[in-house]
Amino acid sequence: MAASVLFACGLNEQKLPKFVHISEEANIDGSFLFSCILGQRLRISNAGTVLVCLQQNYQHYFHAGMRLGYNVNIFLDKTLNVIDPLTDMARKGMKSKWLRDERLVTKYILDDIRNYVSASAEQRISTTILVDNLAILLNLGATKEEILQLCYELAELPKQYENLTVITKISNCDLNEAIDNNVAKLGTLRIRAAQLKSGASRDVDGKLLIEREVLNNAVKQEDNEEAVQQNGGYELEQVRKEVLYKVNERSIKIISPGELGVKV
Amino acid sequence: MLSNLIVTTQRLVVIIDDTAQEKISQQILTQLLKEQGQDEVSTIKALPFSTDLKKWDTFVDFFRKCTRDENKCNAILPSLADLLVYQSVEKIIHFVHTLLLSKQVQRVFLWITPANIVHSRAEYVVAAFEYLADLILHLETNNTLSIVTRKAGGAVTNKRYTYTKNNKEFLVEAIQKTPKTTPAAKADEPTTNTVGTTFKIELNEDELVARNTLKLPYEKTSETTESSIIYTPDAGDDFDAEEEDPDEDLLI
Repeated sequence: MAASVLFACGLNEQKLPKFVHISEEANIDGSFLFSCILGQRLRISNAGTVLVCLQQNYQHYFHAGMRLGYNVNIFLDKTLNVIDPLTDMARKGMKSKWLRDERLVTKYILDDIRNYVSASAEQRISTTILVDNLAILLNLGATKEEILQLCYELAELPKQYENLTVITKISNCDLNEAIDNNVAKLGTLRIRAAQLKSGASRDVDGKLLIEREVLNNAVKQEDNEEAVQQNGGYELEQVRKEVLYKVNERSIKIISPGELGVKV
Repeated sequence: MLSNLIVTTQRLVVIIDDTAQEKISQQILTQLLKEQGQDEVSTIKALPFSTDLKKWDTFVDFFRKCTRDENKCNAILPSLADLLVYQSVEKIIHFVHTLLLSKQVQRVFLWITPANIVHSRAEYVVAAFEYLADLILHLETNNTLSIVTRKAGGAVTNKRYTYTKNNKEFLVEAIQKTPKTTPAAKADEPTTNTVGTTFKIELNEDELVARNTLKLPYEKTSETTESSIIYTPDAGDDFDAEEEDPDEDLLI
């Protein structure tokens, strides 16, 4: 089920890294990761979630959640706050605030996130901000610099609020590579969903490349995230892991490379 | 050590990074300076990356911080990719130039990762800073780098090194250039059979001399100035060899 995906990615704990970046390479759909993370965060009692739906509207996450065994509607406007520009644009057309000024798109998103977080973060044991998908902001008229400024501002939020995590996703390609690299620098956990080099497979949909930074001589503690940066030395200690995944109708299967699978 | 090659009299040091180490760039530069006896408290001034870079006052405050002490300092700037998110190219160049004009600033370090720059003219921007730099350290791969140094007299050196690094040290070793063979030297080499063939095509020296001295029949005729009939008798034309009496068969 989804728990194995999150365990493989290091996202199964109640306390997540402060900034996590997910890249999906060309021809790969990494939205299953977001659905798994969303389900896990909603199941934690009194844990707040802010979901920024840019690639799909809210109904997509509802249907994905029902397949994975949770009902998102139960949590809506309670522990789950949704920012859904696509639905707003569909309902209001050109009167929608998202279509007024391209230069203000990222500002509106940031303001909405800040409003939700400032209203409820202190009462929650943890707050998770999910942004899916940064590349869509380019379609909405934002520049690359504005997208990076948005991410940099989001990366400041965990410093202001305890137990706050930001998880971003981007569809990576040659055009978005610079944005992907710069956003990945902000966090200590980076997950890349990529195609298999050998081509399409019936048993496996793709692979997840997971890079996680660790302290030199101790288990990483999130409070010491700045200590990782200031640890000194010429090397960045990282743990790299690669797993294969298969998205089924109602579950996601994780396979370690080289593991034998029996098909009857 | 790399620090011996980087921390020199050159004032603007630009690091071109093709190995994706930008995340720990300030850490690496601080460590390099510490190896050369610089002090993190007094002589190393790093401008940290933050959202405050959108305010020009942040740069002004950093400049004041660098110039207020009596000791000369080494200024480590955020990476160019981070600077360009908030400031224009002109302002960044102006700021670097301002730092270099100050006598209190001994060196300025700027880290550039071309793959991370979101500017539409990224190549030109990188080239502009390479032009301004006194020393360019190019991290080409995970084990090779090159250093281009512009000296005060106008001389430019370009050297390539292999490097190994771990958490504590960054060691470099110069790559020795192999001497090139000249075309004349190549011609004197004896010809050898090409690999993969089963028969000899090339000529050795004796065969070459013999071929060059051979005169073909048309060449002989073209050399003579007088007309002459050249008759070469065959075996059947040798009449003098017959000793028999031709009248022997007469019954007289």
